[in-house]
This record gives sequence, structure tokens and C-alpha cells, in this order.
Amino acid sequence: MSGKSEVPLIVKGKRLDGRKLDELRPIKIEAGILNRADGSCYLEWGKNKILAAVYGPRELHPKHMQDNTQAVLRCRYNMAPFSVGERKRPGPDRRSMEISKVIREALERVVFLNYFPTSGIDVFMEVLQADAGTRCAALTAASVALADAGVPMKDLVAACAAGKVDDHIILDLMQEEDNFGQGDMPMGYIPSRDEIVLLQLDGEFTKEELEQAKTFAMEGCRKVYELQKEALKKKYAVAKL
Amino acid sequence: MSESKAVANEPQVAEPVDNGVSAELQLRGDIVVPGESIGSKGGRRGDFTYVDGNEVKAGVFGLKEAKENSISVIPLAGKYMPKEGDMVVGVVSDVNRNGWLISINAPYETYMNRERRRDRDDDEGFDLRRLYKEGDIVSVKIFSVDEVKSSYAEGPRKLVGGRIVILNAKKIPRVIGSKKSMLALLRDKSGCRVVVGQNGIIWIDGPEKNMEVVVEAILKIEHESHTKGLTDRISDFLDENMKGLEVKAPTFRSDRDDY
Repeated sequence: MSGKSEVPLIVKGKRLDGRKLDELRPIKIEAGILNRADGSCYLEWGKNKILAAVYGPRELHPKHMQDNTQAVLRCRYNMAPFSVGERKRPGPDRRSMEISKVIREALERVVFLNYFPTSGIDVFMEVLQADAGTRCAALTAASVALADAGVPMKDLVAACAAGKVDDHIILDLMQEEDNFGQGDMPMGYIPSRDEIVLLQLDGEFTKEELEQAKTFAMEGCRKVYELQKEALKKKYAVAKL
Repeated sequence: MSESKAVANEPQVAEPVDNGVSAELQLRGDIVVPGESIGSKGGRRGDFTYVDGNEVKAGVFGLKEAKENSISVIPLAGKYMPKEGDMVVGVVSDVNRNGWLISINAPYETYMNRERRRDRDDDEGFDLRRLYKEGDIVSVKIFSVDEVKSSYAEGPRKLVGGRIVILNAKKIPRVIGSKKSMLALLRDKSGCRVVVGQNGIIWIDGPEKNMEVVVEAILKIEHESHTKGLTDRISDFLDENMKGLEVKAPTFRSDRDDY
């Protein structure tokens, strides 16, 4: 995260891919596409491609992890070796463990864990193709997959990032903007409860910029939230006569 | 999957989708997602709802059921949770000297003490595997569930032969139907013995061809459970597919078998 990039990323209020400053990339969400999982979701967000699967609540092993008062939520965010330009060394690393943790903490805020004492709920998020903003995309997909699995929850979590590029605050950074921009702020948000469940920040923002980034990200999350609802309802939709 | 062309700023319009549910079906109720407001505070509210401020919200993905003065959500998916008084079908997973552990398609197993058998045999050291061994299919009634969801069962019946179908447990009420209408339909039109466990496991026994039709019908019920007029459609389905098959009243193995 250095200063301004050498090549301008924003020209006349338009970004490299023609988006406006506060415009999301195209998002496609599909619920319930895996037969073996209890709940699942496939999500395309710009060039990101993410598959999320939920198993459980089910018996939790090892037994010492069990909690007699509530279910244990386990999340695994994983990037496929072919998901990025240079081959990623497979397996968990510092970054993916961090993302798994923040996503778990975001989801723990909405799932009624106390319904299922001693059991475990497993959420798997596989990044098949990455183009910046995968933690937001993974959280979005995971909460749709949880709902699809029939796990009781307070609400869906929508997620979206805002950032700072060429001294402009923008919504939903793509790869180039993430690499050559000045800051990135992923946010997990529950619009109907006005609750922020995930917030990270990398880069330097003034107070005003931070406020604006917050406004942008929340607005983005609201749009994502609508798409999540749409995707879930579509699974059981029957055409109206 | 091709790249989506949808504009993100406008939610995609639901177009007729090919999810295997035919177009002439009608939904039984509004589909609601977690967090969706389903009514205002006051009046009774059922399971899977919660109060947020002055609103009642859905706590699960399901169908909204609004009755006079009460509101609830019927989940579309989810695991079976042991409940007192439920009749379940399970598989014996372990035997110890005091009883049996039975796995019941839930996050928790259920335990049946040897004393809870109908035909009590107080002979100490009796090998319990002579009654039910690992892998046997039994139907039991759950008589107690504690706060960590450990459950205890009684009244076992061994289900020999036949086959089992495992469904989403939340669809079982539709397989039974109101006043057991759907279940009666399945039994009468096929001549099969059908035992439905509240946990989503269904045991069927009868002539091979008839069983196959019943399985098909049950899977159809599971698939279309969120639509209206299902009983009529299943009735037609059975009539059509049972053509040419002999339907006899089931033969019971003993007078205790009354399914």
C-alpha cells in the first residue's frame, strides 16, 4: 500500500473496467448446488468464483472440542492452487487461517448456536478463482449456504469491501485496484440489524475517508443482501401462473 | 458456468427456473429467509421465530405460516432434533451390556436401556445382541430428551427386510399428511407396509416392484413438499404407476405388527 499508482486507475470518475466509484461488480449467487452437503452455495463475484458447503449440525469430533451449552462453528477458507496467477502452495497458511477466523466470528453472531448443544457445524469455503475481495465473497456465500442448510439464524450476513484508490474512495476493489491502490476495507454487515460483524482495514485513511468508505461498504452490503435473499428464494420458486 | 451479465445494482429478477419443480405448482406459503420480518409483536409465535424490537422475524429459511393470532415458520431444510414422544426409525450402532445405542439421522444418538424392552428378560448377562445387533433397523419411541439433547428410547420394534429411504426430516409431516391422509394413501394404494420415523427415515416392505413405486412417490413428496395440492398429485402418481401391479393387503409377521 504505497502512494498513488503510476498508471491512473480512475479516469474521469470511471474505473479500469468502466465501473463508477460506488458500483459493485456483477454478482451471481446460486443456492443448493451440492447434493452431498446439507447446504451449499456457488457464487460468482466479478472474476471471483467461490463454492461454499455446510455440513451439520452433526456430532462433533474430537470430543474434547464439544461444548455442552452450544454448537461449535468451524470454518475453513481455502484457496485452490489454481485460483491465482502464480500457483498457490496448497494447504492452510497464515492468511487463510486468519480469514477462516474472522469469517467464523462474523457467522457466530447470527447462528443460533445454543439450539444444538455438543454438536458441530462445519462451513467450507473453496476459492476456485480469486480476483480480490475473496473474504467478502466467501462470507457472503457461507451465509447463504448456512441458510440453505436450514441452520436457524438471526439473519444473513452480507459482505463487501470499500477501498482507497488514487485518493478516491471506491466500492468493491478488483485485483488491480487492490494491488496498486492505497487501502482496502472489507466489511461484513447485517443491513436489517445495522450491525457490523466483520471489519478489517489495510492502508491509510483520514477520518472523513473512513466515514465515506463505511457508507460505501454498507450500501454495497445492502445490495449484496438483496441478491442473497433472491438466490435463496429462487431455489424453491415456482413460476406464477 | 458462464460469466454473469447481471447488473449488480439491480437485484436479478426471478425468471422461471429449472429446479425440477414443474410450473403449474403453487406455493403453500411465502418463502422467507432468516431475518425477514414476518409480522408485528403480540400474538403467539411458533418455532424458528424471534422478536427484534417491535417485529417478529424469521429465524430460519422456510415457509411463513400465518394463522389467526399466531405466526410461525416451517423450515425447508435442517436436521432432525430428538423430541419427546416422537416415533423414530434408526439403526443400531452399538450394543453394550445395558442397552443399545441407536443412530437416528440426527446430530445426536439415542439410547435404549434393556429395561425398556416390551418383552423384559431379567436374566443377568443375557446377550443383548440376540435381540438387536449392530446394523439392525428398529423403530423406537423417544420418551425423554435432556438439556444436552441426549435422548432415551423405549418400545423397540425390529424392522426386518424391506428397504429404507432417508429424507430431509423437515418433510416428514408432508409424508404423513394431515390426519395421516398421505400415509394411508401410500399404504392402501401400494399394499406395502410403511413405517415413517419422525427423524426422516422411512422403512418400506412389500413386493419389489411396489416398493419401488412407493420410494418414487416419497421422493416426489420430498421434492414438492412446499407446494399445494400434493395429496391429489401423489394419488394420481400412484394410480398411474401401480397399473398392472398386484396390490394385496400386507401380510403381518406377528400380531404386534400393526403398521
